[in-house]
Amino acid sequence: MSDREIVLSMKNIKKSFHSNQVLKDVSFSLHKGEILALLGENGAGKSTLMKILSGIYPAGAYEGTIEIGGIPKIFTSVKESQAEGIALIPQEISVELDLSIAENVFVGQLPKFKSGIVDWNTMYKKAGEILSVLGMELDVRLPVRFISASLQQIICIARALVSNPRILVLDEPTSALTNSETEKLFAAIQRLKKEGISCIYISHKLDEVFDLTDRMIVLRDGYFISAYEKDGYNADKIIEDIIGRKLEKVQNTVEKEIGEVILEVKGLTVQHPANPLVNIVDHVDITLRKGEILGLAGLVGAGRTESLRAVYGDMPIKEGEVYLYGKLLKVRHPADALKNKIAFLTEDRKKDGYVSTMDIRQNMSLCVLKELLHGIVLSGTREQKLAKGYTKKLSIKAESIYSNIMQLSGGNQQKVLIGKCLAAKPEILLLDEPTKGVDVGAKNEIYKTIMGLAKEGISIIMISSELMEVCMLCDRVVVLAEGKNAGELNKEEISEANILNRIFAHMKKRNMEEVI
Amino acid sequence: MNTQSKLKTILRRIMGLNEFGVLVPTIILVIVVQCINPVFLTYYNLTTVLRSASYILLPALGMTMLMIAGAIDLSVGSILGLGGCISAICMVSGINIWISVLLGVGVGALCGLINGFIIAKFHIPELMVTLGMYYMARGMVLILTGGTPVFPVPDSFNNIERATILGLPCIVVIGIVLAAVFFFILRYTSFGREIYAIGGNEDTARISGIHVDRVIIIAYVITGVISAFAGVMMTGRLGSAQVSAGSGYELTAIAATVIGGTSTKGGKGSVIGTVFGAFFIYALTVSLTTMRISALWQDFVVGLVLIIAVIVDYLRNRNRSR
Repeated sequence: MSDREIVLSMKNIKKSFHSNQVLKDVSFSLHKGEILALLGENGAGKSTLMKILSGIYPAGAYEGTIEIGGIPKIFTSVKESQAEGIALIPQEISVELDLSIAENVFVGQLPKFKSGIVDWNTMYKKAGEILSVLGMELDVRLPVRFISASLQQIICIARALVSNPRILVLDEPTSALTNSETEKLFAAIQRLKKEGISCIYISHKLDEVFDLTDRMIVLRDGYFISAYEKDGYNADKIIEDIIGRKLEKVQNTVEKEIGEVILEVKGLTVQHPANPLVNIVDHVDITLRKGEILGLAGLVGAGRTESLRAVYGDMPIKEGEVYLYGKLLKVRHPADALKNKIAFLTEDRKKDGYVSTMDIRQNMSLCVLKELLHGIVLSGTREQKLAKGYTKKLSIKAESIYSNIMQLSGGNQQKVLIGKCLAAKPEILLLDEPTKGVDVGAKNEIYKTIMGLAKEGISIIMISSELMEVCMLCDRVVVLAEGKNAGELNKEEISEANILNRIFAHMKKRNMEEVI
Repeated sequence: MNTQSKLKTILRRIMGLNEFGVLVPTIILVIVVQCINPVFLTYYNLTTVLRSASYILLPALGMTMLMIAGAIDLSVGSILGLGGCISAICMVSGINIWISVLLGVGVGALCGLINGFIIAKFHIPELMVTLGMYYMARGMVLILTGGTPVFPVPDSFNNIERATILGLPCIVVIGIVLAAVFFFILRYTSFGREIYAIGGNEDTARISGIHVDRVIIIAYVITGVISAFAGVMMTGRLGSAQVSAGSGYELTAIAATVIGGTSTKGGKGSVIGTVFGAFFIYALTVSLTTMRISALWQDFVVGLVLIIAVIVDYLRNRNRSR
């Protein structure tokens, strides 16, 4: 453990937006060379606290004091906060793909000669030095387009290091990274720790936090709740602190009838959107029974999303047939699928999930506009009733159904989109990563909703990259690998190990075939 | 403190209105100009402003619908010219007035259909397709007329434009009625909601079962029809089809729409804003003259107001996303 010199303390921080108090008296301190985790659900006040620290919310917009090295400081801008050695690395990776690594590191602060001309040599040299601190030996002249997402994230950190910060704030840095990329990033953070740089680390992924950080503090509803040292913490206790109640273990033990085959996909083949020579889904068979939760497991790129989108009519089917109740189903557009009572939940809320300019009510009614017509007029009362009904059923937390969807937390946004699917009164529900970007408490509620829907007789196909989720919820699992069926597991066989075994067995077999 | 905070919420609500950017300046303009020179709010002056504004309002209504859907149409001015020209040619050659009007408007529909079809089916940027139509439609006017005005159109036709209803010029009444129709469509029909959804997020609209292509094509056809109709009326106003009728109107229509608070990014906007935007542009022209400021300043001031409107839109978006 490094020395216990306090580099930063934030005392009695309070902050309100209009009448809504987001931070109600939060205090904490950060030691030199410490990695501190900031935990809490969406809306707990983590981001607001960090925006105060980094000067995005200037002095005067909040109450309380910030002390750096024991001296009270006032930040009226991001620049002033940076000058005190505080660097915030935002959640979204932002790089210029066609600029070189070095240019991306120094963007906005290019080293220049007195004449104002860019000093390229110094820039390349310094960029190399900064990256080697992070454990990366890279050709800094390479365009960023050619490097992986984790390296791009590391470039963003390197950018923050240019100004020699003493305190680094990382907001969900791993949300776009794979496991091995995450490991690389963690090694880099550990290296910075050795250099005496302190880190505040925000993440929803608790395993990561337990792995990486020295100390954890939990915020909830704008209050400081608790602090935990690295040793002797209790994961369940921390989760309870985060969500403010005991977390029940969800288990799919609901007694229900699984009925006849309702959907049958035979030999489904979908062309890769970017490469016509490759089939991203290659002769896949799927059957779905009434009231069943069917898991579609596989690695990224296994063709799971594309299979669902093809069934939903959002991607063209190259070969193969889909049968609904034994009858051949022709779906050319999502509208056809909705007409046949098939609804789809996207994995990317921002891309094709919600309409950011609309409120909760308008987002929910989007699939059923025609059904809400009264003559030629969109019935306001019916729309209102629909939105209120699903807001209540899914316990969506919002001021009213007229709140803009962007004001909601990720979990509540996801619930609105589930409500939007349910409004279409589906018999088949296709869920693509239903708990992506959703915090722990809301995840549990979504699990319960999914099981409840299956009990009501809705048949569900669900994709999830969290195998734990698949094991917990699904009645049967179809494993895909590289666009092909790689096996099927019935309820007793479902386990993370079995799923992974099927995937690797398939890959191995294929490699062998290629060798022969 | 309490009344102050209440005042603040009221102020914030007013500032939050899409039409805010145009409503306040319009009111201020009218009051100021009226104080300086009371001739401004006279019947003659006002009908002049309203009549000119209505000719812009018609294409601007279509433009509003398209811009809410995240699209744009640079060809409305040329379609206006072509519609007026076709109907004039028909009338001059002795075809029945009403059939001539219908043919003029029909050509507008055809132009809109071509615009919409190419944009929707080939996913080509709206700006480029409608720029092509801008040249083609204007070029067609030149080809058909040989570059000279088409006249004489029958007086029975000209009298339609000259008629007044409740003391208002015919075109003003038509403008008001059409604005009400567009307001209704955008606000209270599923088609209108689909327009907003497409402008807000086209991918989401498609996933939600909205036939995006179909909606976009219909929106372009409607815009073509309404623009050509404005052209037909203008022929009646001038007693002839002018080769340059409606040139530059596409930009004025965009200006009126944007000044009226319709977002340049799509998904947001309103017909009421556009009505005031169109009125504002012409009220400004007339006010400059009544204030004895050279009319040469008009374009400059319109441009200035346009930029201010866009900045207001940006600031409001930024506040919302925080």
